[in-house]
Amino acid sequence: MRKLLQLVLGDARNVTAVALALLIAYGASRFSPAAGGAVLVLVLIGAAAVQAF
Amino acid sequence: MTAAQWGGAGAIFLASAVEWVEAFTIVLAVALTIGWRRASGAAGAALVAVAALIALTGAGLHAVQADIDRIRAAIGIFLLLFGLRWYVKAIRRYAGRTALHDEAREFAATRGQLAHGEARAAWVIAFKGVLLEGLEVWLLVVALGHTLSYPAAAGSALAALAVVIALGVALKAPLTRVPENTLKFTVACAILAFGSFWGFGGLAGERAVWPLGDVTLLLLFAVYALAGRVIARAARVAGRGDEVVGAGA
Repeated sequence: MRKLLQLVLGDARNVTAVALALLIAYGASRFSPAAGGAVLVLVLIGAAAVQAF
Repeated sequence: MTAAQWGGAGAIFLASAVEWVEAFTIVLAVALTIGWRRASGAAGAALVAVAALIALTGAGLHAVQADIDRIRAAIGIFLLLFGLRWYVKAIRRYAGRTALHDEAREFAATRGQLAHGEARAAWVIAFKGVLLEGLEVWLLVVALGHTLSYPAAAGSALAALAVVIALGVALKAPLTRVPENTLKFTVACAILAFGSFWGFGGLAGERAVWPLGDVTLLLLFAVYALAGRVIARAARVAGRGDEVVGAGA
């Protein structure tokens, strides 16, 4: 079960990236709901770029 | 049936088809990783679970309707976690940052465990995806079914399922000719698109944050695919720069 969770969730960087993206996007959506989705996508792509280099 | 009933049946058929296509996309993505037999098994198990839920709760639909956003958010976040990992891996392979030789050695060392674990995780993704879409079709049948009889409404939804499965079977063969990393990258983009749509939509209100509705899924897929290729290209160029610096040192 632990192994499965690790495989699904990934490492700490992966979990942090998703949590941070959702948190920032949720904050943005309080001001402009439609912008929240765009913010989520941008932060996730940014996180992927950081991990890819 | 009257014209109004045919209209109702057609609406249910089309709306269900959209949901089944979404479910099939996830099953397809998983099938490319763990094979059609296991992916179909997960989809079948999810459909059985939906049927069991319908049989057990019956009139308790409102409880499910109230919780559908929470279910959507939970499944979406799960997909985001899984999708981001695959996305980064596929980009690194495109960029040549993950050496195939090292990967093959690592893979050989942990082959059994890893294959088993990944397959289980992928199975869960297919199961949850079909479960969620099945629940949404159920909600559609109940919401729109009052225009005709509920058996006819359910029949329309099941007919849509049969059409989507038939189209999917026809797609199987051409897909086997696509290179492995291209498939994995495409799967990762699809999973991220669904994860973003469901996860954030479930948390912050789907209609508010994704005003374009289901069309958003296609846009999300395109954005992730384009961004991934751009990142891979930039990482490859940067990698060459590192090699040059390393060679000169």
